[in-house]
Amino acid sequence: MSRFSERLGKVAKVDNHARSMPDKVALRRRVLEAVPSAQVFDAFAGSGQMYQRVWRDAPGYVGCDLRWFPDDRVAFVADNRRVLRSIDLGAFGIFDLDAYGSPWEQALIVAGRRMVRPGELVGLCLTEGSMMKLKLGGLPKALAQVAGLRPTAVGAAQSADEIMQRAITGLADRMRCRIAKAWMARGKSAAEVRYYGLVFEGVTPAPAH
Amino acid sequence: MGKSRLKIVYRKTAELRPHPKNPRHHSETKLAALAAYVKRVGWIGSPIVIDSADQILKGHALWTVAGRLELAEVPTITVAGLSEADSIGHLIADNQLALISTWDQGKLRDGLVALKDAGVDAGDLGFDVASIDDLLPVDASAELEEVDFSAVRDRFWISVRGPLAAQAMALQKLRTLMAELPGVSVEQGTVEGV
Repeated sequence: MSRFSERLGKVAKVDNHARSMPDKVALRRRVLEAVPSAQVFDAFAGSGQMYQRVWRDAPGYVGCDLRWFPDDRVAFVADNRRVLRSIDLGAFGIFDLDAYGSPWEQALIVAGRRMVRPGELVGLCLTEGSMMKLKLGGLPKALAQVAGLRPTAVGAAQSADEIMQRAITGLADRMRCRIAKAWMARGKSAAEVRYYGLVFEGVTPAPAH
Repeated sequence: MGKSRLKIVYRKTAELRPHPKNPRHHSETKLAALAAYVKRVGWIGSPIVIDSADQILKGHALWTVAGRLELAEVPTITVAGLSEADSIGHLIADNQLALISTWDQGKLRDGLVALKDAGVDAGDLGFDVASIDDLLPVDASAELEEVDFSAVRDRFWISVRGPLAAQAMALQKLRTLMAELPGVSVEQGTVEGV
């Protein structure tokens, strides 16, 4: 077992013999159960599918999408990377990064700007849609950065599991956290999307500046 | 040294047994890589070496993989007449001697590049991603940009439109609402209708 999978521990697989939507919902429910007092930042909020199914039960919710959906949600209508760099992320305890492609640029911004206190729990929901690109030999730059690899890493197609493990542990390291819980589900399409539900626990105080 | 010639005989995989004194452990990572390799290219490696009691002296990993791949038979060579000490010595030396060899880095690199060009994944050969990354030449054109997470001070605008008759009330309501938000101002103008 690689040292990265040792840190990740046992990743529980949700029941994924149905379509992807129930898996995504199940993952998010587990994250919310683990961090029940958290306000949610939904970076790819869209029309509100995850809000309707899960996040409306959270103590607080703020969405973000490039399109405006005039419903009852409080939401930014802007590039989520700019929003994440504009607001105080300390107000949020769960970050939903349900990207069509790769969520790692947003994840790196969260990691750089969300200080996690020792003992504090923070939830992350990631949708990783880069599997097809990995199979074709490419490695998204943000994914390479968080995984500590060069963008030209070969063997990426067959080592997708290890790359994901490296990325998740790399994210935890940047946030000075340990991985308290992790769930994963695989999408059923040929694109091989992977869904992750993560709970990080702060272990090390941030250095004083 | 014995003078009998070695003879390869196919034996049922299930009839062979791991040697009880084999000190070498094969990780799941290695077994998975070996299984993928055998599945892809077939059995082109060494026969499994066994003693006259069908205990494996060389090839424990291959035998394990053969079981997982449900190969009914495996090629074997039987070495008879070894003492217990010779058997144990062989179990150790066969693994240890391999460890003290080194790679010709240049030829290894060339080999991995050739495999990559042929569409073969070096991960199947037992290399992990970081090792492959260290061995292979860097594409200088692939720049790694650090994601910038520093604070930004973007501004927004919202447009409110309606008939002129509703303007006064709209302005009053907006100013009341926006008063709670520092740094947000309300501007107004009119557009003549046609």
